[in-house]
Amino acid sequence: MASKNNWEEARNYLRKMREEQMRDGEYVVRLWEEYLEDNSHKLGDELWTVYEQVCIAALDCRRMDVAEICFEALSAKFPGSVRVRRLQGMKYEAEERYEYARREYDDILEEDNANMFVRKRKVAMLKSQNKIAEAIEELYQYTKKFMTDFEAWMELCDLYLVEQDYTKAVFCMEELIMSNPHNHLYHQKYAEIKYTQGGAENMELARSYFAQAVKLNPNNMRALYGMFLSSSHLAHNLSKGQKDKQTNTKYAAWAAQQITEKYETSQKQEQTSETKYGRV
Amino acid sequence: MAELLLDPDIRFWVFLPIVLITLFIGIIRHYLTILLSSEKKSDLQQVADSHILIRSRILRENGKYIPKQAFLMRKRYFNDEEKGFFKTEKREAAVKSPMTDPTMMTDMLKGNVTNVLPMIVIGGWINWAFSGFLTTKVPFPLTLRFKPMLQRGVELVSLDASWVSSASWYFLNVFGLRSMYTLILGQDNAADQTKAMQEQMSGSAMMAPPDPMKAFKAEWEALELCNPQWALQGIEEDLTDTIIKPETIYIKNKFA
Repeated sequence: MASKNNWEEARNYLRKMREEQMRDGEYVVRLWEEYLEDNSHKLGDELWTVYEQVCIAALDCRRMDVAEICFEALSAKFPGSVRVRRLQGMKYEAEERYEYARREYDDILEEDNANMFVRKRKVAMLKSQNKIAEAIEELYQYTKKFMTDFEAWMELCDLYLVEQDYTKAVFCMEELIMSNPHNHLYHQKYAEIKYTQGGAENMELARSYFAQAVKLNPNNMRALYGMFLSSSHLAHNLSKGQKDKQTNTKYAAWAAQQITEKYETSQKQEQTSETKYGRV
Repeated sequence: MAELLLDPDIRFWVFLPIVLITLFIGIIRHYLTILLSSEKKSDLQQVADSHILIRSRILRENGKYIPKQAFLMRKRYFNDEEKGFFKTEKREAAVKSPMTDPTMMTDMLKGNVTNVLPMIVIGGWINWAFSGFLTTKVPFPLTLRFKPMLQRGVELVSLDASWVSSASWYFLNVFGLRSMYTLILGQDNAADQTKAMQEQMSGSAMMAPPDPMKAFKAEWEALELCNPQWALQGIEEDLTDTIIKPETIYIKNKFA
């Protein structure tokens, strides 16, 4: 009875991981080997989805034996399917045979040039080879076609940051902010890039966006620090006059006070919890 | 009114055959659709167009959250008189005529073969072969209004409304076997005729893809009118006004 529950639980957990796009290769492979491999006949049609999931997970943690089993099963069931060929490409990637992988992907794209996953794989492949400039070019072409794929904008932003091309990274972040203006992390990151760029105008923008991030999430310590740093920097080095300096000082003071308050309260909580545990 | 007695042969030769026929037709339909269905490939240009329309809409809605300059830059990309995307991009009106596009012809044919044709043929056949029988009786009294629904083909005024005629039994089966199909064929099966019929109703509206040029024009107009104020103006004041006495902390301690 226990084993029955176990494989069902494992299946449900894999389902959840698929839905939430969690990526924990080792755990997936463990679930597969411990619970599902011997019960695979009970999975029904879901088996093939699970095979795909386990295959990718196995590639993630270099369990080539497991990946090979899954891949063989899938390619026997769906010969010539685009998704299986994509797996083939990913297998080449894991074996670091990039040239083969690229050829595989190009073949797929020739047939179905609206295949987003394969295009993204190509970018990922270039990135893993540390060919950042090529990856940027590829991803740029991708975002030109799929303009509302915000994951891609995020990745492009990070790639530009690696290249220290801040102006373009800022552009990507703007897209992300528009995609979800209620995400404080986007605002924070935008502000951080602006802060790094420097200059009075950028610094003011950084201050505003840090402030917005704090407004959206008052517990965002990083944004509070950012606000403090940007305003004090403005107050001391870039202020345009006495009044400007004063207001910036005010903001910095406010941020600093917030930070100290936050730490004081959180310390208190820690202390109280310690005393509680001490008594028990 | 005297109780009616049905011939037991009706059970074996009308009632059960109708159930079985509808059930098996559904299962055959399911496998036939799988066999005939062609994978729909999306056209890259079309995908890109829909993406750009969504992006422009997002820009209109959330443009106020990015600096004014950044907004204007994007607006110019879309709307510039000479180089703007919506001005320069030309798309052929994608109103495909089914006569000129053979793939659409075959798609339509397949749809008809699996959906409409069996409906007509089987329905006609059932009507012809099994018409005029009373097959069963629902175990509760019904009002007269149900007579046209349950007693198609048997127009007897004096008959109790809870009797079901063979033609109506067929229709009840067509619409009522859905859960049986999910049991046998699993979720998302193609056996259910009601779903196919709904698709046909709404299908005519979806058949013609929207003309991208018109959509671009509409989006251009909407974006042209859009001129948002930066939403973060004075955000620091908003935040800090909630706090009293700001000057106490850091000036003395850190930068004194």
